Formats: sequence, structure tokens, C-alpha cells
Amino acid sequence: MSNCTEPPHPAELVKARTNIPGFDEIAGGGLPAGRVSLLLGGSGTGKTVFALQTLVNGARDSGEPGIFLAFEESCAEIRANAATFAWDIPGLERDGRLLFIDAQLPLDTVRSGSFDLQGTLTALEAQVRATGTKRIVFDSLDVLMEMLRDPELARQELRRIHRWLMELGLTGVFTARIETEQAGALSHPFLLFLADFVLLLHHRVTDRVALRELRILKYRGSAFEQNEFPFTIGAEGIEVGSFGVARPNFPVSSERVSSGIPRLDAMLAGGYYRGSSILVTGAPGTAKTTLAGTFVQAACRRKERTLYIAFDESPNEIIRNLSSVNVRLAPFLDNGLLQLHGLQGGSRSVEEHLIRIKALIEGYEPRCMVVDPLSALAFGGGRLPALAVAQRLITLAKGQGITLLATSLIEAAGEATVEAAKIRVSTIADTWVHLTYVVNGGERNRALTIIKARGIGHSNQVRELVLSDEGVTLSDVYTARGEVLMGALRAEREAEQQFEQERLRAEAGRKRRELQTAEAEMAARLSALEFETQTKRGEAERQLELQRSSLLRELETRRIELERLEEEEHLREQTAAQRLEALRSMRRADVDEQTAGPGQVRE
Amino acid sequence: MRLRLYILSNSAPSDAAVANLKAIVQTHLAGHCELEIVDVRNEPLRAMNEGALMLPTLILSTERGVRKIVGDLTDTQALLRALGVAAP
Repeated sequence: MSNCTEPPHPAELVKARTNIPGFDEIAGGGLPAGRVSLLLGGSGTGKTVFALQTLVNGARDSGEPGIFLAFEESCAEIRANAATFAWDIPGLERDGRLLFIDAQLPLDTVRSGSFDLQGTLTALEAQVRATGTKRIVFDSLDVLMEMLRDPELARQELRRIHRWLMELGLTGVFTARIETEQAGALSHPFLLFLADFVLLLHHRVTDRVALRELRILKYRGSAFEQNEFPFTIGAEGIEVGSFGVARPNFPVSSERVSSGIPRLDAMLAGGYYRGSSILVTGAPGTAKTTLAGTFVQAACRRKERTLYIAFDESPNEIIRNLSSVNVRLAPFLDNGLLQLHGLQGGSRSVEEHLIRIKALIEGYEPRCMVVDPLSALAFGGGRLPALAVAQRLITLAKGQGITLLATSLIEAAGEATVEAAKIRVSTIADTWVHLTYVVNGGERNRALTIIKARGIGHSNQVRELVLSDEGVTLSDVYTARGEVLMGALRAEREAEQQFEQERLRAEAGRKRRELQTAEAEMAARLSALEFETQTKRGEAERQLELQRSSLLRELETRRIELERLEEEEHLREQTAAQRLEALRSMRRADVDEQTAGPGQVRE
Repeated sequence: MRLRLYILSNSAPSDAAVANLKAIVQTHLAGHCELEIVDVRNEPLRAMNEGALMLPTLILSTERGVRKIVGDLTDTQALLRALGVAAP
């Protein structure tokens, strides 16, 4: 690579902005100023357009006049081709800011002996100095090489051109055709070493959809994006889809936005995060669009501008179908809060669609956005892997702080698919809501699961998504033997549950009654016992009383007897006293005798 | 017949072309043509306007049209054929 004939590079690398939309971002500012850039690609890959656009934009936007050396086509042909772009080339030519030089050798040119480019460069130098040219395009080098024929001469002349460009401080852009994608297929590989910047352009057709891509192979002394980037050639020329090149440093919001379904918001502990990306997956007809619709309706009700990109259905169909579940978007279309665009999935390459979506975003500046379905975009054609499409879309939305809801078709509803999809999607979407059909009991019902919700403590429960003309709601589901029950089965199960409850209630009633009976019985027995006790106590008392009264009677009898005895005794005493008196009166005995008398009598 | 030879003075192919052309004109076209030699060092834009980028370039104008002959004109036969004076 070191070449002693090469003049030393200036210390600082200055970039010449191409102002090709998206390109300067991936090239870290533009092409190397004052050096040689090489554009490689097959026929019709857009090399000439790229080179010419660099000149036009330089002349128009950067005050750098340019010269286009046309080796391959005539100037008239190039002007005619360029006239399809909105570049105003005639104006630039009139002002002397752009010069086309016809460097073709006519077919009938006679070759006689050797020649070189020294004279060409001398002539060009006069032109460069006269117009203050800063950028120069050689289109294309392989035709120039062909003219020179001798490879050794060609190499020598290229070095001459290179040296000349460096001396004049010109930004040189060479185009060169290669037939295969390998840069090594270049007929003059040393071009790669000569150039400070090498760009590879592709154009291929996959599934009948044309796809253009470019990739920077080399950028001496500069950082650059090494990935392939899609580009389109439209009315403004080349536009590079450099989605998400800016490093992900998005403003993060903790604000929640409603999903439009209160119960789902509750499952998400408040709703989706503002500026996050939500992926809604599911088989056809699982109400992905409905979920998108409720989200849009909620956004529009908050007076937020919303962009709805529809791929499968026409806008009118979407409006009509959503109104059948009471999601009404028509008023928001009328008042400008909603823009609904129907794109044809397979008609263009993914890249063109992405670029179009980017343009729509930039034109409308929505706060919320729906892409329905993302799968039609991702698998619609083109070579870009579906994941990369999703990633670019999400990065695009996040960069603008847009809350993005994308739906995606997952054909097979099997768990394995879900698991596989999870691995691929989990790295990019913040929230993933999966909708499935659950078939049992001869009917299909829709189940909603939040598979992931980054940064949200979300419910892991499966809910049934119930659509009716009233609107969209979520309903609890029953699980039985590991199966989720919905619809009629849920109703059946609910009825069963109710029946079971009633049965239990009845049983409880019966038990209560049994208990009441038992209680009554016990109470009866208790009162019987009490009665018995009382009866027994009464008897005992009666007995006691009886005994007492009998005792009392006996006592009375005894007392009476005693009294009688006492009376008898008194009587006897009286009688005895009378007899003693009689004796005394008979004996005339004194008192003393009288006192001692009874004692004696008694003895 | 008008001959205009665009050259870059002091470069080997151009110097050779001038010598070769002069010799041929003298030998085959004496008095039948008008020869002009243009040095791009002096008239750079003229060469460009005439599409004479590879130097040396000989522009041959006749009633039948204009032809370009590039190179140092060492291939005399090719030149003579182009001039229409080649031996059959």
C-alpha cells in the first residue's frame, strides 16, 4: 500500500458532504475531501447517479463547483438521465458551477500508437483553476482503462490522476463497474489501494422486488458504518435508509399511554410506556388490528397526532371493520389527528417502504404510530431480514419519541414458534402482546398474553379478548387440567362453577340444618336432663320435705306426747301434793317437813 | 481535408506525434491539407470543447465528417487508412 510516489496525506481528514440523504450519516460526514473515492457496482446500480448527485449537491449546497468527466456515456445522455431528478442541472451549468466534459472516444476513433492522460489533466487543470472546481467525477474508470488498453499504462495513468487530484486538492469520485459482488472481481484491484474510500453498490431482485443496497468497504482514516444500507433512487435522487445509525440514546419516558383497553392497561400496570415499541403478534384474525385500533383511538382522544400505516387492508376497510367493534376512527381522520396510509406490501422493496414511512413521519410528526402488519413489510420482498426491518422501524420511531405499535403475523400458533419468535423479537420490542386462538369445545376464542413488557410489572395471566359491538374487553379465563377455557366452554365452566357453588351452598344449608337439628336435639336432651334433674331434685326435695314433715310430725307427736306426759306428770304431782297436804293436814307437820317431803316422796 | 493535432508540448507521445504527422503530410498529403497544431498548455479549453482529451489526438475533418485518431501516430498504416491514402 505504501507508495513512495504518493504525496503524503494532509494531517487532518476533512469530509466533503454529499448531502445525499442518509449517506453522510453512515460515512461519518461525507466523502474524504481532497482524496479519491471509488464507487463500485454492477451495471445500473446507481454509481453514476451517486457521483452526479455528489457533484450537484456540492455545487448547490457546499459552494464547491464540479466537473463530470463522462467516459462511458455522452454528456447529452447524462443530462437526459439527470433531467428526471429535480436537480436543475441546466441552471448549475449556466452558472458555471457544473461542467460536463465528454471524454468518450467515438467508436470510429482510430488508435495509432501510445497516448496518455497527461494532456488531459493539463487541460482539466486550466478548467479547474478557471472555475474553482472542488469536486471531480471520472465516470467510469473501467472505460478509461479500456481506452488505455495496456494494464501497465493504465496503472501508471491512474497514479498520475491520483497524484494530480492530490496536488490540486480535488475531491475525486471514480466509478468502476464490477460484475460480481466481490470487490476482488475488480479488473484493476490496485484501485482499491489507491482509493481512500470505497463504496459498493448492489442492485438485486428478490421475489420480484428490486432492492438496492450500499456498503462502505473502506474508509481510510475514518470511522464508518460497516453494515449494508438500503437505498432508493427517487425524484430527488439517491436516498439512503440509514435508519438507526445515530446511537440509541433516546429520551426515555416513564409516562404511560393507554392501550385503549382498560383491562389491558391494568395488566400492564398502567399502559404502554410513552415512546416505547409494542409488538402485537398473532395468527390471522386474532384481532391484532383491533388492538391497534383501540390504541389509535385512545391516542386520538388524547389529541395526539397518530400515523397508521396499513399493509394488508385499505384504509376504508380498516375504518369499517374497527367500527364493528365500536372503535371509531373516522372522526379523527376528519379532524386531522389521524393519518391512515395504505401501502402495498409486495409492490416495492422493504427499503423503499421504510424510506417512505420515514418521509411520512418527518412530514406529519406523529406522537403515536401503527404499522399493521409489520410482517407484510418485513416479508414483503427484499433481502433484508425481517428482524432488521423491525429494528429499523423501531429505531426510527424511537429516535422521534414516537410510541410505535406494530402488528405481526405469526402463522403457526404453536408454542415453539412463540418461543422462537421471542428470542428474535425480545431484543427489540419493549412490549410484546401475543394473541392466539384457543380451539376447544368446537369454537375458536381469542386469548391475549403479555409475553414481555420491558420495565413493567405486567400480569402473566392469559385473558380472553372479547369483541362485541359494544367494544373490546378482556375477560378472565378458566384453566382446567392445564387448558385455558374460553367462550362457550368458559360460559359452561362459569355455569359449572355456579352450579358447584349452589351445590356447596345447598350442602352447607343442609349441614346447617343438620346441625340445627342436632343442636335442637341436644338442647332438647339438655332440657330433658335439666327437667330430669329438676324432677329428680323436686322428688328429693319432696322426699326430704316428706321426711322432714314426717320428722316434723313425729317431732310434733313427740312434743304432744311430751306435753301429755308433762301434764300427766303435773297431774301426778298435783295429786301427790294433794296427798301430801292431806297427809300433812293429817299429821300437822311443819313446813320443814313439807320442804323435804316431796324428795322423800319422790325417792 | 483539415487536420488539427492536439498535443501537450514537452511530452513524449505528443512530440512523437508531431514528428510522425509532419512526415506523413509531407510524404502523402503535401498541398492537399491544412494542418494545425494546438498545444493544450496554451489552449486547454479548446481541446476539451473538441473532445480531445487523450493526447495526442488528431482531428481529421473531411466532407464525409470528423474522425479522431488518438496516439503518437507511430502506427503509420492505421493513420494512412484513416486518411484514406493507404496503399491498397
